[in-house]
Amino acid sequence: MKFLKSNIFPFLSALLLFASSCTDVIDVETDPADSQLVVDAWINDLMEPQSIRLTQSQAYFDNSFSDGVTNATVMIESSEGTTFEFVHEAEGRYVWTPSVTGELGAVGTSFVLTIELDGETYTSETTLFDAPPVDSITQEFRDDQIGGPDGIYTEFFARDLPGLGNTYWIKTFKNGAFLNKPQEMNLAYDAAFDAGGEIDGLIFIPPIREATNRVADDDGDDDNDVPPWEPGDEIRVEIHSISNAAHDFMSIAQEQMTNGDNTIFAIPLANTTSNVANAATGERVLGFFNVAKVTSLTKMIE
Amino acid sequence: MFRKIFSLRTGRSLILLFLFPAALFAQQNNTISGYIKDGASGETLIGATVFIKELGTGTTSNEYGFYSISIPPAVYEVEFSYIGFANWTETIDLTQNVKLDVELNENAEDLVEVVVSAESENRNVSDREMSVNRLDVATIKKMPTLLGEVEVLRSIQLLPGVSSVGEGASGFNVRGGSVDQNLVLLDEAPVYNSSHLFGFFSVFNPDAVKDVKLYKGGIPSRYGGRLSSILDVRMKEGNNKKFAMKGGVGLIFSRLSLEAPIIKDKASFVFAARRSYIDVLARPFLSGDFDGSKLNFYDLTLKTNYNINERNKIFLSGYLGRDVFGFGDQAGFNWGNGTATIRWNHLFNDRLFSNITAYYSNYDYQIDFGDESDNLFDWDAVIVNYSVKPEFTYYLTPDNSVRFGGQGILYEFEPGNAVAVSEGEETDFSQPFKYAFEGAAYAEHELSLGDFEINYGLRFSYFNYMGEGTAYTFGEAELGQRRPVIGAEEFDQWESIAEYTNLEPRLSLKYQLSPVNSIKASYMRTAQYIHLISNTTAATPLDVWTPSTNNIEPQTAHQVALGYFQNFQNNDYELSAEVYWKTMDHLVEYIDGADLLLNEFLEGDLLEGTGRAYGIELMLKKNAGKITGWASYTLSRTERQVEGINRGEWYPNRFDQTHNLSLTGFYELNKRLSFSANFAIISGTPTTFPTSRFEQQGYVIPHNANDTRNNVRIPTYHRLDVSATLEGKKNEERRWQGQWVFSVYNLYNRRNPFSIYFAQEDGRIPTGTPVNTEAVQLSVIGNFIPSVSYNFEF
Repeated sequence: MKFLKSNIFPFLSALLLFASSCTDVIDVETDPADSQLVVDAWINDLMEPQSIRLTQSQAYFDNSFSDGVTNATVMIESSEGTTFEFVHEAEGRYVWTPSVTGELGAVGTSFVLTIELDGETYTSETTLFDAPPVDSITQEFRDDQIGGPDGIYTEFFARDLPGLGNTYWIKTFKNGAFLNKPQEMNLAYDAAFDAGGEIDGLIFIPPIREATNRVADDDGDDDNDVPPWEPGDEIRVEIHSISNAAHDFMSIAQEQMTNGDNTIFAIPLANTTSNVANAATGERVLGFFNVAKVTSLTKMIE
Repeated sequence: MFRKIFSLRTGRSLILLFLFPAALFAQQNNTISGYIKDGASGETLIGATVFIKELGTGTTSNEYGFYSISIPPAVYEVEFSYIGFANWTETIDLTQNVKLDVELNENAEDLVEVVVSAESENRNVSDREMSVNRLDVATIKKMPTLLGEVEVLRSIQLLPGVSSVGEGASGFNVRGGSVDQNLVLLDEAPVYNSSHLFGFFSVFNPDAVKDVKLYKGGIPSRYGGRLSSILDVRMKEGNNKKFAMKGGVGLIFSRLSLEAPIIKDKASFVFAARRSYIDVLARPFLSGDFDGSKLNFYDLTLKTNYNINERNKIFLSGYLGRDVFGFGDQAGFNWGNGTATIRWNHLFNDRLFSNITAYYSNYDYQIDFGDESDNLFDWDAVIVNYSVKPEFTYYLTPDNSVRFGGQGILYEFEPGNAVAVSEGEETDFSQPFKYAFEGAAYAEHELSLGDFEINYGLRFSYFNYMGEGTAYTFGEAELGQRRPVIGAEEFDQWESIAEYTNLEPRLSLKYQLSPVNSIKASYMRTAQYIHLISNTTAATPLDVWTPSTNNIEPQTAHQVALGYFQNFQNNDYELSAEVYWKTMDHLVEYIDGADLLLNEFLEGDLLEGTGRAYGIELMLKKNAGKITGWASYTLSRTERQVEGINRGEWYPNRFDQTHNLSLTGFYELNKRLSFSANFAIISGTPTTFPTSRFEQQGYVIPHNANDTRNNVRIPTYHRLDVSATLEGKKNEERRWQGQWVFSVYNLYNRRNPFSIYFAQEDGRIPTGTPVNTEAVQLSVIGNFIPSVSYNFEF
């Protein structure tokens, strides 16, 4: 149950403060590696331009934007026989804009992504799964929040769809800006965190419902004295349906990006498992392809 | 049921086999036997020496202070000795069997007339045992400590061959074995989690501990169930002469122990308690959110014994310890061990000593979140075991003894009982219980032939993973990926799901080259049937033990060791040098992204690997003079090979340390003031660095393009600790004895690395801005830590 990794270990680690633990940013050398093709293909059924980004992986301490791969042909074919062409716009970003709602297809449609680049073909397959509606968003003034300031906290309510093995990525936007810290990533497997739990068909459990509140950091604008929400803020919660493999991919990514929070209980470095491979050799590239159905609800904080 | 799961016939034939040589040596001998005790407290002494001057031979007292020696009838001068105690010599006319209980007195300077057995014995050289370290509590108490707390488990980490993954990590690693491969015994009952507050403090109250013995290799056949080591902790029996009280006030714990006779010289007890009070100290600083927080740990130890008569003695001991964390009403978390042991020593005759132990041991944790009844999350997990363990020792001649016995352990695993309530809807996602039985029969023969001493033995072990339960079968998956469930079969209560047996031969021998040097060798095969499921750098209190199943094979190991032992300058200096080689099979490893808790299909997330460990251990010890202490150095390597990790190639374990040097010194300035220091320098442990990063939905994800594991070393660790002990003025009139201990941990304030992790820089990064990633070094102890504590005896 990853719940623990993400909730209890950092919590326990706070106790290490009693032992005067500390961290220092240091310079280390990492092994060199060839750069690899990265496919960033998370599209959805919303009526807005859909983009797929092709880049190259870079050295770990190379803090610039990744170079875009600009000379590829990118398209998606659905099991209903429709082809969607993604046209290069800039910096490796390939875009297709739907002309009518639901143009991609209904829940259950499967899709094949094909990328042609320098004489090689890369493919991936996925299915569009269903997502439950966001029933409500509530707000509450809390003056007893563990490790957080007094102020307004939010919670969303939705019910996991019936049947085992539904996976979701829940995204929260504050005044239009996505809460994008790795610690804020909110993934669900049925109504809880992962497969072993088998919590099916329920309202999402509280830690998932309450992950709509930003995680504080040391930055003065967003530190522990600033409440997560103030009257007049706009909150939007989206539920994206993702495949089980996409859930595994993002869980590993999140574990790795937040591993430092687990201090002495960190897990070994692990690689994400891509679902995009070279059609001829079967060799995987980096990244992921997912087609999501999106439901959402927007509310003003009072 | 019992007959079905434990083959009595095998046990009996093993015993007969081992009694056979015994018959050859039985002659018309008479026996001197009895108990050796501390004259002041009546505590029995473990490993005291009995020496027959005329024959130049002898024996030592066993774990219960009992000795027995059978020799031809004659008049003998028999000398009894124990480190730190005055020798005692008795002339015995052995025309018939003699019972002789001996009380030795502590080496006090007012006893001028006696020959004092100072530390200078040649045990190091003359004992057959190798790869064994004993620490007496007096030595442990003199070492510098973290926050003034006397620590059993941290002390043994200053011995060769013992390491840990880093400060604060619970458990310890012996000769390249993982933390779950140590059997930690408290009065023979296993302790599943030997630490308080992760790994900072051990669960053993030093005031209740009598003797600590660590077997790193050449483990005798009477011990089994873990691959790498046995840490045998024996509790005091309690003063059976007079009331005694000990205690201490430190920054972390306060301690109090009471011991007294119940019936003088016949029955006594010891009760010891400790409690931390970080929460009490921290309360003024906790407000708002943290108000009402709980943070404490405590342990209670109770032992009592009763000498029914000369032939029968009964011991009862119990331990209860817990760590408690709570954050207001919103969250609580606690864990702890409990053990209870009952032992019956019975003398069938002067030569046949027996002990039957029955114990109960449990480890559990509980977590709860939520302060309202329609939104909560409650979870607990438990491992319980019950065991019976009869053992017999037959003392044939001074050169010849046989030990045999058996053990049965019944396990119950509750890997997770969990209930979530969400808006009043309740879901129970408790994991099914698991049951198992472990049985063993063993025999060992100890024989000495002039300069040659040998102990050979055989342990037969048996494991039955049984119902009621569901056995799953798993299909194939790509290497290193989760295997899918393809079948499930239900089993009834007591019905066998998977059975395993192992024959575990054990051998250790010594050849005495001269009175001051010897060579020793040992071999052991060990099997381990229960496994700690843990993939974090340091084991967590939430880790769950799992039995071997139809999908998880028992871990097995072979170890050979060879050693050279030499004493110098009248035994004032001891040198030991050992090399070992160990191979391990069926080690448990984990796929990337493994889900280890509350996962019914856990077995699909496990991988199996092999391991190897080898090294050289050197120890030089100075026993006498104003300055005493030891230097310990280990050069070692421990590696694993697992299909699906590191491209199937060998890689070093996370706790691999190439060099580990530690120096421990004690200096007695005068009767009142003494100093001690220890210094450790340890090669950095290996970890995995990413090579690259890539972007995905605005996140920057680390990636290791070479798919390696533990390919980089973190920086070297080194630390110096010092302490000074000031004894109160000795006053004959007064029974109250006080002592101040001042210590500084990490004297030169080094930030030693525990690990290096990789993350994006702190703070929210606006969309469309490049993300900076960095390497961060975590130091668990980032300062020097001074402390003061006060101890008293009454």
